[in-house]
Amino acid sequence: MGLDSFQYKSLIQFDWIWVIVAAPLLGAVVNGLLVLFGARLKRSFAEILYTTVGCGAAFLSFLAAWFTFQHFRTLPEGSVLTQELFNWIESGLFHVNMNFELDALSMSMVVFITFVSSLIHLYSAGYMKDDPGFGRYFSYLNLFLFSMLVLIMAQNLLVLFLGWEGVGFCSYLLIGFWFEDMAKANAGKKAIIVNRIGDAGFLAGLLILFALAGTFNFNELQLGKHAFTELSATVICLCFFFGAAGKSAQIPLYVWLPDAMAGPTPVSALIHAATMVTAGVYLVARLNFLFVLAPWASMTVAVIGVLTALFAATLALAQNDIKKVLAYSTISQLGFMFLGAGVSAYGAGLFHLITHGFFKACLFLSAGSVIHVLKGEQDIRKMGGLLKHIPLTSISFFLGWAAITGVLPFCGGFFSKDEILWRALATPNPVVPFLPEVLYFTALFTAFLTAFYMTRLFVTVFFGEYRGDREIFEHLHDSPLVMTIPMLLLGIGSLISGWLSVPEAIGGGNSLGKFVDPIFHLSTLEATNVSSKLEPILMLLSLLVAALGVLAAWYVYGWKHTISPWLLKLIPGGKKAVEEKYYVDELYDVMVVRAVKGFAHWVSDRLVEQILINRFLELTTQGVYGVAKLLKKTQVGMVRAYLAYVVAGAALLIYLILH
Amino acid sequence: MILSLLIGLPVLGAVLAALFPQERIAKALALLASLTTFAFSLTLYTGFDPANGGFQFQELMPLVPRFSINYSLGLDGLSLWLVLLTTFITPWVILGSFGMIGKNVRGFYACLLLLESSVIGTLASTDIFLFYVFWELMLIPAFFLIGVWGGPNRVKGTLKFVLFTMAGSLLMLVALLYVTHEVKSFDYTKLFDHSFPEDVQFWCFLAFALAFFIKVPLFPFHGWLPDAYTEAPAGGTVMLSAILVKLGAYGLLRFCIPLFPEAAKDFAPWIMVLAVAGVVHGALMATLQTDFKRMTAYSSLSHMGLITLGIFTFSLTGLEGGLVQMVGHGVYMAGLFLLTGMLFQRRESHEMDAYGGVAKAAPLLAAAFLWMVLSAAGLPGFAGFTGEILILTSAYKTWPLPALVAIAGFVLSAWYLFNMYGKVFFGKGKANSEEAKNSKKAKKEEEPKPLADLSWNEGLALLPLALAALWIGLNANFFLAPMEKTLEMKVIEKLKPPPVMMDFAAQQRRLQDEIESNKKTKKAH
Repeated sequence: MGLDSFQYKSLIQFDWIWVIVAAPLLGAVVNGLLVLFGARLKRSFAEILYTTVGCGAAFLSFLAAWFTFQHFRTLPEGSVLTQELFNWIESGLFHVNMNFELDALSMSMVVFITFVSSLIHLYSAGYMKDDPGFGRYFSYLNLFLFSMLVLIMAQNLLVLFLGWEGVGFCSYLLIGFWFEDMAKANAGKKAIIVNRIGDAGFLAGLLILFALAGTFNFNELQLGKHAFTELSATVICLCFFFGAAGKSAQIPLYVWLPDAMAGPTPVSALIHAATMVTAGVYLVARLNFLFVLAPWASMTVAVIGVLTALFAATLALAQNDIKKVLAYSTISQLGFMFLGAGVSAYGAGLFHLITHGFFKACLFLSAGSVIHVLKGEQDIRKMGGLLKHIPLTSISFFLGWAAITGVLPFCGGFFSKDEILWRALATPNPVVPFLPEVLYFTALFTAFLTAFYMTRLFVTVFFGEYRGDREIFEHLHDSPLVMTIPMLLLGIGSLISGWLSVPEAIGGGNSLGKFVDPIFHLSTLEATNVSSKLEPILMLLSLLVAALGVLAAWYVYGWKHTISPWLLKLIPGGKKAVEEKYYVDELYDVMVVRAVKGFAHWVSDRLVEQILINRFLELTTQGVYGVAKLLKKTQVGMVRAYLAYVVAGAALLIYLILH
Repeated sequence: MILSLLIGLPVLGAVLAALFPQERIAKALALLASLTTFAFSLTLYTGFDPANGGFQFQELMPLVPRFSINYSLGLDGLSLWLVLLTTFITPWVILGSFGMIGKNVRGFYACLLLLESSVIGTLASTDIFLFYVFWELMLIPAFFLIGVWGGPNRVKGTLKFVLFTMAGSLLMLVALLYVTHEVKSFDYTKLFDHSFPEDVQFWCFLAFALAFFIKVPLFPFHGWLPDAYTEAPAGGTVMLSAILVKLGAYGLLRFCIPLFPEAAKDFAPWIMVLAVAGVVHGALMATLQTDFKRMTAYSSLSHMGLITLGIFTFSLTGLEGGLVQMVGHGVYMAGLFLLTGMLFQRRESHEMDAYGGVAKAAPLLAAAFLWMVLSAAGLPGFAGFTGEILILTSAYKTWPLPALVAIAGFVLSAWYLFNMYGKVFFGKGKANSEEAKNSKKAKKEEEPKPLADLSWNEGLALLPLALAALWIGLNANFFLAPMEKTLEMKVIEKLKPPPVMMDFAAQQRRLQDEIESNKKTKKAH
């Protein structure tokens, strides 16, 4: 690492970056004010207004991002676009600016996010059409987009934290969007509290980092990384990873994401699949220069990632709610991304983040379309045979399915997942030598499970006989174009996003990898564990495994027409355990909720408040009364008694003076 | 003359409000007086010279020449924002509580204005005798506010509040007389220049600090807080939580630390521990409450702990964080307590379970409440965060462990605030219990009667507070810049050399250097 990490970075002023974030913010404010104060507007007119403002803001943001990207591409490699807005907090040595920066990493994220989110805004216009909270919805969605973009474009960790908390808050609002249903409102509450627990790690990381480096600015941190020892870097990285685990739903803080499906489906697609939940991966990638100093922390990231991937995949096997399957699948795929980041394959992690964003958004939107046409039905046991009746939705779901299972070798998730698998095996681990093999085979098995449960979902929803309400079935027709077009575009996106970065081993260009390489190349460990000639062979192997998963699921669900989670019956007790989600919610209820409440009740309330403070006060008042009572007795009202006091007093005085 | 004007205007308003027989005119006069005071106080900001750390806008008039007691006023970077906070909050409290007070309306507004006047007097006094007079004067309107217009247990609340405060103030009076006797002057600047021997510092620090700790309140001197906050009428609670308690922290900064720096340094670790204990204890107690006003009271306690923590880091960042947090806390606590008052006015209950579904019935109220909840929960970009991050970073640098423990307050605040918000504002609406009992018509109606949304005066009262919460969150420099010079001159300078508890960064660097040198020697071998 003799190269100075900074020599190839040049900051270039670009004064139009603010448009990217200002458009959605303005949209949110305008729609918010319209909702609060525009109650007298005619409903049909207001709806047009909300849609125009909401979608317009998202599209404007995408356009601004696209033009910025075009400008960015003309610049030499390693350039960074920057814009200074204002001085946020300045106090002594504490100096933080509200600045935005776009390098290759944030640039690719921004283009991807604004694109996906524009499509989902459009889709929402159809999906939420008859909802009384239509305007409120668009206001929240725009606010989310704003926060997410602030998070990505932040020049320093504190601005990133602004976006980080902002997206968490918007997610709270949108999960509990139908707040009259207390269960949904509580799901939002759970999300924001679990995220806050993770944020404790983030905040601790901020404090330690600032104490050591004296800055939150990414460039300065990277320059001053010699301020960190291996130990301090490990502590900081683990703190930030805890925060990332909260936002990106990793073990042990994944519990909020399945519940978050209470929100409207486009929200699940945008926030809880494509964008917000990937913020943790982005954070780890952004701090790559720290993680490279801390092999133990990186290893933790990889291990937690692969464990979460496996764990969530097993849970996805038994879900009967179409959105829950996708939710667990998201957790599992996020685990893959963390695996990539943990083995220093940040580029591969980012690649998977983008392909996953496309195919999972596509899957969620298709699922939303299914729910929409079935009038709110989410149980896959009451679906089936929908293929012929809603062809466009089926096509887009098929595209998403093909991308996530990786069974069609040249589309979507295949390359990105395979890149991660390859790097997990090929990157030597300095701490535990046999870890790469363990990671690889666990991930490979998870890929098998992924193919299996996704095929189960696909088959039970679209093939076989319809098992639900006949009345709905008779009036079945596909969703309106405003929904199907974004879906199909995302489907095509998930098909071709794999071509962003075809590995060089099979003659590809690896263009995304090369695009972001200036940011990561100092932090990337060389893949020396196994010979690179193995890569095409391993690629075939994972193709085979995926095909096996698909065929197995096809055999069980397509051929035998079962709908129960057959695979889990092979393991005694497995079905029950998975259906109860391994009792994790119950465990946390005892370990966290009741523990805190119990502590608050017994220690804070009973011991401190009632015994130490109130009892002390009571004793004081009683003491005062007691003394008063004693003194009262001296006031007997008899002259000789008072005379006696005078004599005694005088005697005492004389004694004191003479002594 | 501007400071005297700011002290006098509210008194004039109070007298006028008390004299006019019509309540509506009295209200209008009170509002007018407080608004005029606020308008005049703005000249303090425009006329303030940030480069000057000494007292500005000084006034001097001999009061009791024999004891050299003077009516002397002045303002510096320490008191500037607190005076502005007071003049800023009062009009909105008056406006917001227009519909809340049922009896002796004129007296209520007169008390609010007298309180404002005495607070400004306390902050502006540069004569320590005058300070003490104003300090005690504050107690009288506060006493009436809780005792006359309070809730069902108001007598208990008042008694606790007054006794606690008096106990502290008396000890302070003793110490105050002692130090002024030593210096032979009541002039603050003379006291400031004098350096006391260590044992005197020890006892005087304790005596002064106790009064201020009770006011803040620092854990475990908060026995008065839950009852006083809960029982006081909304307007009174706002004055208590947003303004009065800040004077405790102000006293620490103005008197305890600069006059007795050695003792302050000795006590700092203990106080930091107590401050963090308060942060965690207040937050834990808040999670237990079913009464949202009481919950807000405990959350206020938790946040005040953070302010004390910041002050006793003795670093510029921590001090500035503490001061800016005082302003921010004042703004969002004013908002929260006004809103709890508005809810109470609609349903006569502070129990969370009595509500539900308010967001549907009263979207503006819900939005305003959420805004304040976000500020209190320390969302970046809102008032709560700016102070919090400054305090925590500097506290961590001085002593890591308490700062890390204080993060629990950050986590728990989301817990109790969003829990409360969900219970009150989400879900299905519940029947208005009072009306259901009283009117037969309500019984027949299946749909519960929805709560009314914000009225014009409530909305107008909340709007400036909401904007201020955002302003503090996004433009912290506006607030930080004028206080810097004063803090450096009057606090930091006095504390030199600063106490080294555990300079983590320095320690790390030392370790690093050792490793580097080891490597070099190995290479050399």
